[in-house]
Amino acid sequence: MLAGLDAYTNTFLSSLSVTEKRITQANAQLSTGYRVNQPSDDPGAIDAILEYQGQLDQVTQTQSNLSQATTVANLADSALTTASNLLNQLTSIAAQGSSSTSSAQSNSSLAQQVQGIEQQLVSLANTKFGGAYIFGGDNGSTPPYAFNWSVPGGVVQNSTAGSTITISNSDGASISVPGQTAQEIFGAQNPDGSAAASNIFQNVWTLGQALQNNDQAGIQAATTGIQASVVQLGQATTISGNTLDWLQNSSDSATSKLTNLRGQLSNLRDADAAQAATDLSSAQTAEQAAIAARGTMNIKSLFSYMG
Amino acid sequence: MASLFTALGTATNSLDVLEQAIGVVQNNVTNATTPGYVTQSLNISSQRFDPAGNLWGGVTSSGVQSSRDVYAEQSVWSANQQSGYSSQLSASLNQLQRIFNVSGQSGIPGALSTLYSAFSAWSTSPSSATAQQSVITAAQGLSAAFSQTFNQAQQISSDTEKQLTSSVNKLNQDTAQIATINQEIRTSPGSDAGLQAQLYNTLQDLSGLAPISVNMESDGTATVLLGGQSPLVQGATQNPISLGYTQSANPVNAGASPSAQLLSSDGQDITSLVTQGSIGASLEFRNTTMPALLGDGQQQGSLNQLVQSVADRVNALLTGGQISAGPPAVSGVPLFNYNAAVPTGIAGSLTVAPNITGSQLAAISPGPPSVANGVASELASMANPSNTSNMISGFSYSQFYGNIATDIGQQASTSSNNDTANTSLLNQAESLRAQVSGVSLNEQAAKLLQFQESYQASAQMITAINTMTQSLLTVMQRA
Repeated sequence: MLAGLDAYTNTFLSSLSVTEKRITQANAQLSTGYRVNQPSDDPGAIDAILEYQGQLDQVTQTQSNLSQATTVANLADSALTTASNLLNQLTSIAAQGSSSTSSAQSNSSLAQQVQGIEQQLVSLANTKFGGAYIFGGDNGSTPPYAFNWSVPGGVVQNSTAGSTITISNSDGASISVPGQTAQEIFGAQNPDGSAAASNIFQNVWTLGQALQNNDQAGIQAATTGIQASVVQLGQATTISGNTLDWLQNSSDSATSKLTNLRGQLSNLRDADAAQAATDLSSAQTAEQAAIAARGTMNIKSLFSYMG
Repeated sequence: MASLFTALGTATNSLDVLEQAIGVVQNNVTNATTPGYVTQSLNISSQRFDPAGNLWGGVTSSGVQSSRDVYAEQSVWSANQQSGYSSQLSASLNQLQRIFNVSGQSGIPGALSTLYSAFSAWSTSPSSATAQQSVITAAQGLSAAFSQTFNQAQQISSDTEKQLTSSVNKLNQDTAQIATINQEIRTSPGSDAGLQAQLYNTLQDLSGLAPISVNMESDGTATVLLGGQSPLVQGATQNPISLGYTQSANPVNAGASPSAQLLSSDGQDITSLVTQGSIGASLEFRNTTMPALLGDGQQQGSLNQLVQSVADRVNALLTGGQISAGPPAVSGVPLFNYNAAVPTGIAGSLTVAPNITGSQLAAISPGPPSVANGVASELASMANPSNTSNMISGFSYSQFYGNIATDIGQQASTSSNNDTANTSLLNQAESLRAQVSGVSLNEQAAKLLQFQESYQASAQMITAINTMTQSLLTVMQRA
């Protein structure tokens, strides 16, 4: 309230102030695109807006995590496919080695091929992404295996870390990615720590030794081992496939959630640009009209007509 | 002949009276827009006329009468107290609400989300140096967001204290002026419209600052009481008030800001009397609104409570986790530091532990069973907690912040609406007062015309009487 002004003028100025508030609010909505720019704009909506935005950020991060995990899972699946192809080659090599036309010389050559395949399998077991060994379990900084043809099994195990790291989706479920360690896939062990019958490294090395020694009985036994390894790898591939499916479903769910959240957030927070523009225009027109009317008011009294 | 001279005297006297009346009109017109001024009118009465009893009538004036309506003035003061209160409170709350981001994309809520996202990314790659550094960077961002909000709130509190000082000084200036006016009223004969205008204008200004009640004494002076109890002005004596700050009895929180306190001239605490006016609003804001947020001797303040809860929970999870499972296992270190000795300053003292590196972040929960990213996952779950340990009073940290912003927003919205309504009421009260006692230029112009005609008629009467007297003298000379 300004001193020295008559009541009519004070009323005019108060009304003008209300109109100017409308203009300020409409301008804020248009410039920010938001209906709620400060707490008093809609106190009842603040909790929901912050909740939705927080969920949006959370699901967005989850989507990013799933994307990265999918890359790892695809890499793992590709490695298993390559490994499967290598085991198929071994099956063929084993058949050649046990054929009637094989010789010590030919089997020695086949042994070299087997050694090479073992080395490739170790390389697959040590697949890396983003600086971490994807089959290393909780210890992604250490290569799970090192190739060493001169030791039984043809490999040295560098890490026995399990896999407890899980990734969660937007529904609260979680999974381990790629879900299997190198030991579980390639170096299966019995409870006593000895190589299991399906141990891929062991079976490949055994085949290689048998071929090198031109040991037909050994080749036959190793062939059985290779077949067990093929089954082992098949199971690993199934698990990998299931992991990929889970990741895809989770990503789809997250995408759907993001769409819903954006919609809900927009309904609550975003300004109706057309309405805000209309409000702004209306308020500005009212302001101009009020000022013009006040300015042209011919305030006269009886004094104006006295000679 | 004696009657002619009497008539001449009567007519001349009427000119004097009409000159006074015109003078009153002139003063009304001159002061039509003067704050506090009300229409004055000259009391004109007829003298006794009884020629047989040698009473020849005429007109006399008996002082100037004010049209001031005390009830209309009191209505304006009452409306002004409420308007002053709601206007100041609305301005203060409007300033405060701006420091709270409600989009969720920046400020404290944005920083919390960024931290949760960093925890989530870290949980998928606990050994990743990049992910670890992102956690530290996000923690620094959150610390900065809390500090900024705290500092802004403290600045607003400090500004309110300056506003209080200024308003109290203004109040004392007004009461000093009223005391001076009272002194002049006592020494001035009769009613002085100018002094009365100054008095009532100052009283109106005072009413916008604090709740006052006014008693007009028989000698025309005003006795002003604060809240109807504490005397501010009695006659020519001013009782200035002062502003002080006092800590609550037996404060729980060391180092907390004291409350603002108003003291009478004899040292009595009169804070509770001032519940209206701009000073009342500033006191309410300084002593109630801000401590709810920043704390005082008895409460920690919601902002500090939020910061401490977040920091303590994050630190508890990290220090309870392991950097390495070993053996030997290596425990984690705290991520946040704050000054616990000043509970009401935690939001401003929060920092990330100096020199902490990403490799010192403990992602492993020891269990059993041990989970390599257990701690990181638990930290990430703070975004949408089901564990009450990740909540404050059943609310997530984001919800708790939202509740703070909502409460302030509701207060700001309500006070803004009240301000609009009270401004309208004040306008109405002033308009009504103007109708009752304001100067109407049309009315004054009409009176001027009336007095002008009367003056001309009296002057003509004097001329006629003078002519008649001259004629009589001429006749007497011839005789």
